[in-house]
Amino acid sequence: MDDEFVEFVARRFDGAIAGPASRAGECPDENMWALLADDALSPSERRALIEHISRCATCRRLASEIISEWQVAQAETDGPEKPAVAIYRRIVLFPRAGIYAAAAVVLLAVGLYFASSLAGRNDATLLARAAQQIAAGQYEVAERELAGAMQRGDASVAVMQLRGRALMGAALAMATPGKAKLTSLGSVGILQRRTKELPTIPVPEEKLERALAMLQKAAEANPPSAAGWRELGAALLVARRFDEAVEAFGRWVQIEPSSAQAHNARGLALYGAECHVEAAAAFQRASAIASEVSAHELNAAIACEEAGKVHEAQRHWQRFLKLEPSGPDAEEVRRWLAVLQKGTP
Amino acid sequence: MEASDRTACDELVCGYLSRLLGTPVTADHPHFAAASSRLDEVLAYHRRQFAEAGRGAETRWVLQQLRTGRLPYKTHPDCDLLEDVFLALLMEVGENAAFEAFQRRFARSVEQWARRYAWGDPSWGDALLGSLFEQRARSGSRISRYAGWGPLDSWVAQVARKLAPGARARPRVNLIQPDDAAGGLDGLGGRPVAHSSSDAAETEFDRWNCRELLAPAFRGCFDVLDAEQRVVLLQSIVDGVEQRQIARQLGVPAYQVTRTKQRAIARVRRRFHELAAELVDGGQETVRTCLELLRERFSDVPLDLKVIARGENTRNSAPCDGP
Repeated sequence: MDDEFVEFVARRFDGAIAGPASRAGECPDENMWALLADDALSPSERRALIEHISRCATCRRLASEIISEWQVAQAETDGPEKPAVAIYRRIVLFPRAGIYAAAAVVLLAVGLYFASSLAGRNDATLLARAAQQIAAGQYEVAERELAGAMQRGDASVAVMQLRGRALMGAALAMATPGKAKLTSLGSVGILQRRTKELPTIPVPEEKLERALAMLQKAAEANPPSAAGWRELGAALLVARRFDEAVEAFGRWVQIEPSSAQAHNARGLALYGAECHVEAAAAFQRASAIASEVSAHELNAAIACEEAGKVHEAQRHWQRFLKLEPSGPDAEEVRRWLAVLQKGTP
Repeated sequence: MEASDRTACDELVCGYLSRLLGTPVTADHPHFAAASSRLDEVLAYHRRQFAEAGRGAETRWVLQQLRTGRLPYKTHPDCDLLEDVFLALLMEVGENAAFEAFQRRFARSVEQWARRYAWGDPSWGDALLGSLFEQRARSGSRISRYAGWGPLDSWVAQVARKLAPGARARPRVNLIQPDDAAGGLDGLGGRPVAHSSSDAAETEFDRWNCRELLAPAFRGCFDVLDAEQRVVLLQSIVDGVEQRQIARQLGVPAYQVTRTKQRAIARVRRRFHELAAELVDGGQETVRTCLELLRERFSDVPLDLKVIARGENTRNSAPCDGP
């Protein structure tokens, strides 16, 4: 494994480390890049290029992109009759709605039990009622009741968690549909210069802050609890604070290293932060732990493609189809896989 | 260039132009002078390359190598580099015959590039071709920049790559579908939301302005590395490139990349320790807090605890521009 500290430094300060291109001299043109792509540089050209890319972040990323294709280029030979168009992509946080609903009930029950046993003064009825109100979309009502309970001195983890959830729900309920451009969030490696427009919903910042603060407080009040970090990470993911979500889910992974859901969730946060290589690794870990869950395969395939690992992506698409041969995405995945396979030697 | 070589070159130019234009071409053809001059440039470059590789640099021999795609560091079977050079030149001057020849030759490649870089969008292929021939006020057409260092295919592929970022943006990627997330986030209604504030995540590290405070230390860490060490470290860690690919790029064996990387990591850690101590000695109170935060996050931060212990913990006092 790489040195985590050095990795952190390198990622966070990539731009600053590399410095502007002017410091590194004139950037190479397509003639030079073509030579690199063909692996046909002379020793002197190679030295000059290495010297340049060691100082110019933009060119280094381009060089990385080119040399990363040395293997996959062969996979893209003859194209199909009709060029492939956009595949409908979906990142799935948790496997299936049914499974999740069941899991939610269990988690809620466990949470209630945990809450009532941890804080004797907790009123189980209050918690149950608040949970029902949240489920019914009555976030403000639930929030008022939970705030009242906290004012009365009941600041248990369960109450804080539920209040954070209610605040989050309220913030999102006030949101209006809109669009925002996602650019350069965090460190992203070779695909950094790609930008995406994602459908987003602006929410009142103040409410969001309060919700996240409450969930953060709840998680920190009981650090060994995976649920707290999971809840916080999920909210951060919704809030698109991907770097923080990576950390929160990282804590969840530390507590439950054998949880496929934890690895999958961390993969989502990493994907959001555009750390596609790391995201692919996290999804693959989830897939290794729970190989029967198709969502992990789907996520791994998408992340692998983003990371330029076409062959690995193909493997995951195939596994996805095996697990879900007649699901809603199956047809599109089959078509996409055919496109990829047609170009593979 | 000797007179006999000059004659050979001129004959070669006439031969290629005749073939590409479909009509006999002599030395008084309007494009002859430009073609002859272009050939000289290409020849000069490749003679230097052959000489550097310790091989012959005699004009006729080099021309023969170029005609058969045998470049000093790479052989391109079925490639006639001189044909590529003259084809590009004729397109540059707007010869329709050359343009048609180019389209015939690159139709499939453009499709592949569109698939690779623009998810198969056929209109992107047209945009690529248009950008090659579009005349710009100052720099002329893009095709005029092809220098004949390698096959035209490789050069156009790099142009395609350069034009890709806009087109390459993947189809709408909904990170979390509302339906999935509604369940996934315990009924929170997991719709991605936009921030009115900066995109950068406001971690505690950021709130304390640590990024800026520690920037000199982090920059300094990497300043001690030589070019190869920097490239190995950044390409492997930040860009996620495999070590054997980096090795091939550097022209060294893979095990050497591993060693270089290990050495680079050791140097960065050692240098960080020195610079961090200097920063603390410099008297910036919040620096200690930032270093503490780093230590909290990474148990293996190369920092002597005594460095932090020199002053009081500033963690509980808010920084001037802090939260």
